[in-house]
Amino acid sequence: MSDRTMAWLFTLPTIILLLFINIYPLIWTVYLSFTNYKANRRGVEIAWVGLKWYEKILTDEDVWLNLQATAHFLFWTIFFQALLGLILALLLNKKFKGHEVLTTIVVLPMMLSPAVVGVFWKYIYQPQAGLFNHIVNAIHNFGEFTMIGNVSLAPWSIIIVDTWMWTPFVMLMCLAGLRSIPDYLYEAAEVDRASKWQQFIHITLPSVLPFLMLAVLLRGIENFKMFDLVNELTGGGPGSITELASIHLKRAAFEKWRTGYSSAFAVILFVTVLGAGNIYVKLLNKLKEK
Amino acid sequence: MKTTKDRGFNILGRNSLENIASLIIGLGVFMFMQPFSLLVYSHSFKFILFGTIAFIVVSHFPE
Repeated sequence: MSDRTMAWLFTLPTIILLLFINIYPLIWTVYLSFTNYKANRRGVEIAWVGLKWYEKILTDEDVWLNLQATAHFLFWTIFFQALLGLILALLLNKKFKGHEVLTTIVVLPMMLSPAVVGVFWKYIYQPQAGLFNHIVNAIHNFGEFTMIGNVSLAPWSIIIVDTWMWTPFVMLMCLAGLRSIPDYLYEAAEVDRASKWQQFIHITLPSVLPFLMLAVLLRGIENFKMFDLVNELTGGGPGSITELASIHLKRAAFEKWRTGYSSAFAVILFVTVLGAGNIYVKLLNKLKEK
Repeated sequence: MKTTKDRGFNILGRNSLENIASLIIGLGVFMFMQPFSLLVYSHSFKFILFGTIAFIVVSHFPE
């Protein structure tokens, strides 16, 4: 048996499995998006509806508002996580007593399940007995207020929780970048009398940037399809102010049982993530080449 | 020295075409999530789909 045949023999089971669990559902979803199929009405003949669902989604003001909520969530979570993650990494990169213990403590939130974090923060945000209101009122007395039930505060409540949970991930990525910088670069910079700020701009930042961008890419994709945490914390409310695209999708698919419609929406979201991911990977490769 | 033919090839080279496709995708994603116009939103997916397909095709061109 040739090496090539052996290679095919070993990889074939994985390829078949991937085709079965990834490619087949994808093709099936694309097909369903052109039909009136409802998963709770089995046995009913499936009718071809063409681009009906795509037209409906792309002219629906409610879906447009859901996407704006998603964009707001995506922008601010990525911004805060990148900023705080980089600052934390710079702090924890210094050698001080107990920095390893501190790193472990900081990393703890990302190890929890998003559903658990959702329930946990629901209690923290509780208006009467919640810790969050006590801390905020200790800083400045705002009186009794609710984070989750308030239309203007609810979007920020999910941003705070996601930032709390995932900043450690960005920090870890940045820390990996910082640890990969050889000491002689800083030594050479000091010989040339470069200030700390110049060292940061010309050595630290360019070395960390590819790692930071990779973290932003991964968080961006994850947050675009964010579901579990927000569903547990606010359930898309109050009203539909925190109804992100994925929550709208879940409601259409498993509460209203509009399988064709939700398949079309899933295809739209998939193509968007794929397109945005392509641009980002291209940028990342350019940065690496530099 | 680059000839006119070489320059023409560079304009339509893989990198330039990838940049154009990326620009179309970026514009589409912005149109998809912007808060200003429903009309712009309704045309966004055409840009994203065209840009993504173009990017995938172009990225398989030789360097």
